[in-house]
Amino acid sequence: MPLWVDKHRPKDLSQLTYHDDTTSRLKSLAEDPHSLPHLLFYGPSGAGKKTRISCLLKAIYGNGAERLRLDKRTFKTPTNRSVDVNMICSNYHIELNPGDAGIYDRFVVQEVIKEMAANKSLNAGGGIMGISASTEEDDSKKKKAVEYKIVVLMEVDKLTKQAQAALRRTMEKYSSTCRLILCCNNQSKVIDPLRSRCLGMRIAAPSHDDVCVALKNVAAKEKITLPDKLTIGIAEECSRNLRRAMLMLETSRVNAGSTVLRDNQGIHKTDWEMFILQLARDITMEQSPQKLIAAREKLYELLINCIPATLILKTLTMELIQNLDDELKYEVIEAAAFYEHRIAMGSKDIFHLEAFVAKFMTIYKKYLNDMFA
Amino acid sequence: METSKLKRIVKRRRAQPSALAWPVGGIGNVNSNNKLTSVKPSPITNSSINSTASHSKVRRHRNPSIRQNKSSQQWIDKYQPRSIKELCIAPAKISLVQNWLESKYDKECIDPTKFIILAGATGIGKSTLIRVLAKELGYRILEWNESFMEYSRQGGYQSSIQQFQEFLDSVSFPYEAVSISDGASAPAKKSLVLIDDLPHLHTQEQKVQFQHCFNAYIQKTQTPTVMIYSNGSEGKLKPDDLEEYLDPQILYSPLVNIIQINPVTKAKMKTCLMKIFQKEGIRIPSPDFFEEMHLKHAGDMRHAIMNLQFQYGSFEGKGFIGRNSTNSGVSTTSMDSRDKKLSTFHALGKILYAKRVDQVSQRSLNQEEDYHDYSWNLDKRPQLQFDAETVLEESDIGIHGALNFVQFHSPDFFSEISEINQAFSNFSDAAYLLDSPYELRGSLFPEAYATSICGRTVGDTNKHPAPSKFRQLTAPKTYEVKRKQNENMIKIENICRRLTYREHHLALDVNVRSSHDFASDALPFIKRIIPEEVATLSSDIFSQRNINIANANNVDNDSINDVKIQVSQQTEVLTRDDIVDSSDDEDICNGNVNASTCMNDSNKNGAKFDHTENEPDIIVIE
Repeated sequence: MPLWVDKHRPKDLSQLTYHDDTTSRLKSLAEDPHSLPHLLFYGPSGAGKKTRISCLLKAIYGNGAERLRLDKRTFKTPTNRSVDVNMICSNYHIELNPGDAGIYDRFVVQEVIKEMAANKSLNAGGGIMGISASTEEDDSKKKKAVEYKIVVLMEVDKLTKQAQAALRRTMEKYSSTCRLILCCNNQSKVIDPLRSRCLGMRIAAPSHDDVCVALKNVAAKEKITLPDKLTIGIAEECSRNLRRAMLMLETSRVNAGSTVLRDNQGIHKTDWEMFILQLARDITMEQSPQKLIAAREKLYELLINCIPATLILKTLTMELIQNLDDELKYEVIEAAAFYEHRIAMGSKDIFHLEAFVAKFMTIYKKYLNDMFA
Repeated sequence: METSKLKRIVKRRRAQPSALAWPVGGIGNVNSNNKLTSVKPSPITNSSINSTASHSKVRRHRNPSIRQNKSSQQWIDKYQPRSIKELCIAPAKISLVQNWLESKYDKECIDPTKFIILAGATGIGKSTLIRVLAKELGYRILEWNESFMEYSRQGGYQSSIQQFQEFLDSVSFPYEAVSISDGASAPAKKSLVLIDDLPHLHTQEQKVQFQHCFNAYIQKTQTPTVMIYSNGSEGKLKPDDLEEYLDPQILYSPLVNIIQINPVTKAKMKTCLMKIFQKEGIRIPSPDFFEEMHLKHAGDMRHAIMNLQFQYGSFEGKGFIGRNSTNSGVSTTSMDSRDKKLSTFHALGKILYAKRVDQVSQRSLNQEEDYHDYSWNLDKRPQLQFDAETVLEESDIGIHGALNFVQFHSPDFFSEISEINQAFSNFSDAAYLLDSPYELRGSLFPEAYATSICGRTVGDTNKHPAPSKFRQLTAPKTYEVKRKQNENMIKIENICRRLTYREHHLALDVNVRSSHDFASDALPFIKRIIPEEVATLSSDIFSQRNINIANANNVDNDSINDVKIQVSQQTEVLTRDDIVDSSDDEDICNGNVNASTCMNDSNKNGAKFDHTENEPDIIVIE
């Protein structure tokens, strides 16, 4: 049994429930696939970038784009290293995360696009507009129109600068036979030339209302009773991440043990969030070198569990500022922003995290002392 | 005074030319520099100049094929001590060894010692002592030296331990016709075994094997055996070093005698060098020169002589002296003195404890050198006892390692959180500098800055150090964290991939996703929804212990919101009691140390809030 998050994922542009403007633009793009430019989808995780990309692919190529297979390709680099890259393919498109190749990403990106561009599209299924039941004439018309394949590159913001530059050259050279759809969280990490060659598609995080609607939809399909209060609770807790909201919903269902969910049953928080909450509590309780050493142990634990350092910092800051004076909030957030930048630029995460904790302790202790001295 | 300051600067620059890419041109007018360019290259002063004179190197120089003619013979060989009188070792130690060697072939001797270990710094004449003694007493030296061994003639590789063992077997009976170097030697000749070099022991098994065969040898051998040991760290011998090779039971038994040889004294060194000066016909420089030679070479005679030859030896006109004797000793500072080496932990200890000069001696120093006054007034603290950059240069730990170490251990040395804050923000700066991408660097500066920050931060920021006590310096956890993180990452990736393939259809985002997102976003929920799928992982990845402690501490709360309220309440309590609240402390202790009580609590209350506490079994395991 698949997870609800997969099971109820919209398969078709018409099933998308929010960002109607974007949806209608995508529809019009799919109507005239000939004019499809290179696309750059960006937005926070869990907003629905990937869903929209696959819907778009389906709208262009028809059902054939849904027949997926997982491929593992091995590339030989010029320096005779072999790099394994997982990719998901259909007859019409290929999707990969070039970040998997590490420092050889430049090479992988170029190879894949060259290869795709060398073979023209099979065009077997033709393009079927997903919305209306299409007729035979439509089909034949599309068949001629769509002559290119699509390469979907995930997480382009994690690519090295060299790979991005390589992408720029390649995408111009082969644009007649190959279109690119890039997908990333942070547009600012994509180099300018690349951004200018792509049509940007901003997929914002869903609003609380959007999340509630989506949750209700799924609940209806799964035939469970979902009280309003719990829906709102999940929407608030999921930090506007729809994937997370769906997983929370399914977790609540598992925890409840029946199809009737109660208002007061509580929402399952992730264990690492609980952990950070505890950490935040510890460091507001006492500020001393000993506490700092204890806090560091907790930070190690979080890092070991593969929680990204920036996420730790962000969550911790949010927990910390909840009970603070406005004036302190400003200082703490400033420190957090400073160290988040450091984390993003460097590789020694733990140094910056600990520096932030020490900074908070200092600010907070000074505040307490000033107040009661 | 001006010049002495300059001298000091020159000395430092010279000692670390590669790491500090500072322009040296400005101080190039120091006379030594000109001198260096005028030196006519001598045929043999080549490789020995910068070497710290390891055994093998010296051996190679003794090889006659290198010698070209008599005048270019290495002084180190030319003036090798030929008799006991010429040795630079304390007479008491010499006679100790001599008596022992003589007594070994004396039938009436009752001295049980069969084995002596000569320990001491390099280049003070330990091996020479044995060679000279053997010559005087007419003993033949049976020597084992790893670098002499070659691949066995059968073609197969023989481990050096095996070779060593064979050697030991062959020499354990002195009167037998052992044939190591020449089989034709007279069997009746008295012999002694000299172990000047030990096989390299890489693994634990090798160590055990070596100890075993060495112990057996010591017990059965009839030949007096001398082992030379010069690996003492920073010139001092630590007993543990030897215990690596020898079973402590044997090592401290009467069979073995450890003789510590001290570095060459100033007077001895002067006498020796004087002799060379006389023989070579060089004008004798002022006494300061010898003073400095001794200081510079830390009692390493071999190194001192080599340097001497480099400075004086190659001039055709023997009368030409590299310097005026009036300011002698000045420019020698710029010649390469023997590199000092600090052990890792010594260097880190210096940086972390950051001891300062006594107030009294500081004052007297200030009267002489007024430029310190500035810093003195600025900070109200005496100077640091050490020069942080030099310490890090001299230690064998790289800047990345040092930074990790210092940052990891520093909080223990502080008592004020605000000072730690300052220190940590400095460390963060240093880490940032080290991480800066290569294309932005363009020079070596970031490393040098990071070195300075790393070395000086603790000394600078720690104004109220925690009371001095013994602290164990362990490897920083940073590496362990990185390693575990990578391991877990692989596990998570596997799970992610498996879930993608679940039930023959692509699920879970149909995506080659980043595992970081997966770990934080999806995995915690998936563990609840389909625990059987991730069962392999949950036990070792997300350490249940800590998560459950986190929950166990909140046993009185039903939901997260209550926790938050509690936090604010506790903050209030805290502020009222001026941050000293014993109950809080206890609570924390429970959380971290006394897991068993928490465990009981959570078991008792487990039924009340099933959504967080339904895994008590896992805690029990902990």
